[in-house]
Amino acid sequence: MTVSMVNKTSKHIFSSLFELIKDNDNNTSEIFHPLINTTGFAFIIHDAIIILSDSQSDVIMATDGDIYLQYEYFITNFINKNKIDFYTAKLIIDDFLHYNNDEKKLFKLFSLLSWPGSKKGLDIYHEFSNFSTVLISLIKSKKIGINESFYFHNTFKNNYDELLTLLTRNSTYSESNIRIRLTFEISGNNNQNALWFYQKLLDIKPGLDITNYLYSLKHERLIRSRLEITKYIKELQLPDYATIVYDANFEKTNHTMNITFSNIDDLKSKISSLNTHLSSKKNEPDFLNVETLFNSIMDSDCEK
Amino acid sequence: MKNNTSFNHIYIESHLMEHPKTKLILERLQHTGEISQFDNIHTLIKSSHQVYHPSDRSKNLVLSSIRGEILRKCPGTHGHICCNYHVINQYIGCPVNCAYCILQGYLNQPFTIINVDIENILETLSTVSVKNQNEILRIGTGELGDSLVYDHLTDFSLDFIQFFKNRREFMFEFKTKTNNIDNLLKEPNPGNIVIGFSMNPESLTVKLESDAATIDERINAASLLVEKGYKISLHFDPILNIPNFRDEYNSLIQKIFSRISHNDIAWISMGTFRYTNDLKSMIEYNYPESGLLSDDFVLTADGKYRYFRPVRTALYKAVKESLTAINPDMPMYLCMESPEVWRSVLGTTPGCSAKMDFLFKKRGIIK
Ligand code: SF4
Repeated sequence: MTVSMVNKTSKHIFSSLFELIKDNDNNTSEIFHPLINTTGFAFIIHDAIIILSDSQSDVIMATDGDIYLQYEYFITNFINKNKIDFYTAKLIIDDFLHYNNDEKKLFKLFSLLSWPGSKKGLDIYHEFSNFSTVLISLIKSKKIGINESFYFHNTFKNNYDELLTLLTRNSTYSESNIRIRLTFEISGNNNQNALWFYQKLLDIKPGLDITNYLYSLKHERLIRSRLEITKYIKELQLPDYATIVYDANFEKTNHTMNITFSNIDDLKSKISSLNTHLSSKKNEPDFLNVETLFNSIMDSDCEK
Repeated sequence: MKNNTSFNHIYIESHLMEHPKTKLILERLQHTGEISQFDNIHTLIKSSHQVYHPSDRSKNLVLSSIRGEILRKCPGTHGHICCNYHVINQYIGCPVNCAYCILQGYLNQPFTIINVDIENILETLSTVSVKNQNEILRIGTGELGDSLVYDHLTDFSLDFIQFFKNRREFMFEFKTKTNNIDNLLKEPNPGNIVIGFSMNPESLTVKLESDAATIDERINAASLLVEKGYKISLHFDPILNIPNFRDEYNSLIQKIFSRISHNDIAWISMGTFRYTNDLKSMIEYNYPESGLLSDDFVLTADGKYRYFRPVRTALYKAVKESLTAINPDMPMYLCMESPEVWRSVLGTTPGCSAKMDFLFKKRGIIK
């Protein structure tokens, strides 16, 4: 086997991978343990792969084999795949494309890296270099998903860093993604363009729960219905032993009442007290009647 | 409407190379691009990339033979009433390019499939019998594609009309968004052929059905078919929550019934826009400007997202009111809706999913 050093452009990528190897608890990484913190070592770990460690603990791959197979071998055996962030994935794809244009293998690599597949993956890859630095740093720090980044970037085009920072402040990965999705969904509404939305969000009060705020913007009528029925049920002041459960999405017309009881006499007595209790309550408008509830929230804004 | 007669690559199942329909399609296409043979469609699919956009899927054509159950019950979904419809997957894939098309979420093969072995389909149909004389079997080919979009290549409509001519226990529907009706106009309706047109206000069709016939073209096609004795079905599906939806749908309905009479209608279905998670991610990618996903959607019993119930009900009621203003006895049903919505829109449910026949009895379609 002739061994040729890979082009220097690869070096940074394998630096990132090396960090991942160091963190990997997997047994297979034992192969790498002698390599860590050692200088000048070379290992043959696979027919087509040689790993060298230089004095900065960088890992450099040298090979004359099929580059896709090497990535596959390397990633499958030595890296905890979950630790490859999309930024690293993008660098790996850059590197792969430097050596190989085979679309089929590229798409296999996408799947290996959990990058979106096929043409969509390619579109995202090509657009990636236009992402703002804030967006890229969020991707790097695993604060935002790749699909969400792409759609957000496409929706708000330029100059979105301020909004993005606001949306991802104090949020987990999944929360950021929910916020981002809700943002571009709402801004896609005919009446609410991206600029309107941008301003509205920037105006919000500090301390406001952004996820809830966005959710209620998108699901305005649903949230209003939930608030109305919850208020109505609260006003019924049911005794502790009885609770009303309604379908949170209001697909069902009927509700359920849970009554805690210990025997048949207890049940009879509680039903009877409930009857007396409810008879004394004002029940108009009856928001347990879902049609009445709907009428109250649809009156003014049935049409967009 | 786009003229769908050009493909980059045609793949033909080996044993169908000499099939008369294969020859007919090739002759009509005058295809100058690549043609390949294959033995196993699963291997072909496996060796191809996933395709996202429907227009990419319709660049390549596969001529194949039908697989699996030939006559399938339309997949009704949990908690929703289905309309007891049966489907034949003659076409899989569609070039009409509707932004809301559910096929985006179902199909992942990078080509449109035409199952050319019509003889196998007809042979299966000839063995199907209905249980009792009162029953009628509604069948269509518009489930995984448009029934007529490739009819100028295949002539399947002529085969079906010929076959159903003397089989009164069947009601066969071609469902389309095209005006590709030349074949149909060659034959008088034997009585049990229905042509279904999907309808939406022009403001939507322009934006969301880019390669379909215009609404005027569809209405014109419907009126020509009526002259030839065909019954028409109308599908208001997906109904979308657009600004001024009452006026928009009302104008559309007025326009339709200025050209055809309510007596020419076999049935009318209504369904509001719904999506699965798979469809959602496809719409986000394929049609990011469509605005389809921006509304107030909730998860419903079958795992699909639908407009919040009062919004759906308001949309259905608006369409229903415009229809009943034309004629109070319009034969309407809701497609994949919950009993709650049926009741609040139509005041009734058909009881169970399998009992839609009442509608057609009422209309005199079932004697
Ligand atoms: S005509 Fe029907 S099958 Fe074809 S793209 Fe439109 S919705 Fe899909």
